[in-house]
Amino acid sequence: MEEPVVPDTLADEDIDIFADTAGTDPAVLFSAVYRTFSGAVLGYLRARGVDDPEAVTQDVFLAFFPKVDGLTGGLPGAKSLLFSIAHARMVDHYRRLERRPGLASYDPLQDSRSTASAEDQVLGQNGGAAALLEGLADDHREVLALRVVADLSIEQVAVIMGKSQGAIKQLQRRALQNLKDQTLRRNQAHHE
Amino acid sequence: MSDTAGSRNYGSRDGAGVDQLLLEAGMNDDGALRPMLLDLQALAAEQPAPSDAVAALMIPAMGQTADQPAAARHLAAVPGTAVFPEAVAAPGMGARAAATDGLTAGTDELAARRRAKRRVTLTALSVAVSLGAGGAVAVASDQGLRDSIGHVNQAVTSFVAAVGGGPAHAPVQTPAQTPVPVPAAPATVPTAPPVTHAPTAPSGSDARQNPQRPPSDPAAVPLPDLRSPVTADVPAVPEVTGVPLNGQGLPLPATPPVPLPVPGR
Repeated sequence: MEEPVVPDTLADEDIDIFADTAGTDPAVLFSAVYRTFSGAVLGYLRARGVDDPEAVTQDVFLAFFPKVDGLTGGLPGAKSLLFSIAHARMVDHYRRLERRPGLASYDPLQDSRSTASAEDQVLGQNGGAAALLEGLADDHREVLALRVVADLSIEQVAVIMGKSQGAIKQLQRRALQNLKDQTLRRNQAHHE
Repeated sequence: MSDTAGSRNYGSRDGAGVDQLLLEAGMNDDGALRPMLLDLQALAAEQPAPSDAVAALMIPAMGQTADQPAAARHLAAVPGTAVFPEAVAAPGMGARAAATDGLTAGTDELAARRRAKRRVTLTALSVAVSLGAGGAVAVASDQGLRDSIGHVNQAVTSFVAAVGGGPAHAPVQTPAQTPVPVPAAPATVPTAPPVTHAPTAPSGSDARQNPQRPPSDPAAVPLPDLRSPVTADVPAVPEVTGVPLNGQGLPLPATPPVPLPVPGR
């Protein structure tokens, strides 16, 4: 029932590195964290619709590096800190977006005269996965991204979002229910 | 590289987190949600290649002894080292310092803006205060202004003295005028009493011109001797001194005390 604290996907050397960080070079710790979590950070930022998620991922790790020395809690602590930084960057992104004037640029996806190419259909699978969350409320998108993409526990998500664990459980249940309803509606519209 | 790492990460955690989530939400028997959540989880499969700055931070510090604490080495690497393009490619301290410099420049935007605002306010305030202080000092040190203020003060004093005519101001002006005619009086009018006063009047004028001398002169000329002749020669003195002041002034008895403060001073 309880989620494993450390993902079992880690390489043995990475686990050994984080078992004792006292005399370890920060560069070695940093490398292990990057190898382990960079994909999850990139996926989380993509799922949240951040512009240029690759560049923001690099910024997240650059902001993480100065905190490596004071890191406690081993690999789960590093993961929590990393996604806290990523969450803050995502919030900054949407705040900047709110301050930016709304520009109506040409969007080929909204142009009904065009049809999607076969390459787009094949290569755009990840974008389609991220689009699953688009119709959901912001809190629901956030909790699903942190729980599914970032693979964080309820406790970690509660700390990052600043809510209680009970609130997070309620939130993820409603988010899953809304996701299910939204998918059903899309399928019905597609068949019609 | 990234594909293998990504498949390694994604491969073994495939479905475990999603099943856990569905179980916690009470939807573990839902067959429609699971594939969607697995698609969502696949977003984390791709591992991005590190940028130059991140790659520089991954290089272990060369030439550092193993017994040196990691924190000390890290702190030694962070403070300002010149950021050169080749430093990023070079292993060790310079590359790490270059990356951390770039990091601090990028992350402290808001704090830097706030500091700049405070600095502008303080600078404007200090400039205004120093300009005001400098202007005040310049105005106060102007000799022309001082003279004009002195003249105005003098004019006001004389006007008040002339118009108000109070007994307190009259003695101030009469001594200034009396010494001049009194030395002339012995030459023009050979009256006896003025002759007796002639030695005393110049001494009074000298005392006014040279403030250092009066202490010696009063000792030489006793005041009681001066008073008694003045009171005796009242008719002669008022003609000289009383005319400019009190043209029709009968209160001549009031004027005799006029010269008294001068020798006494």
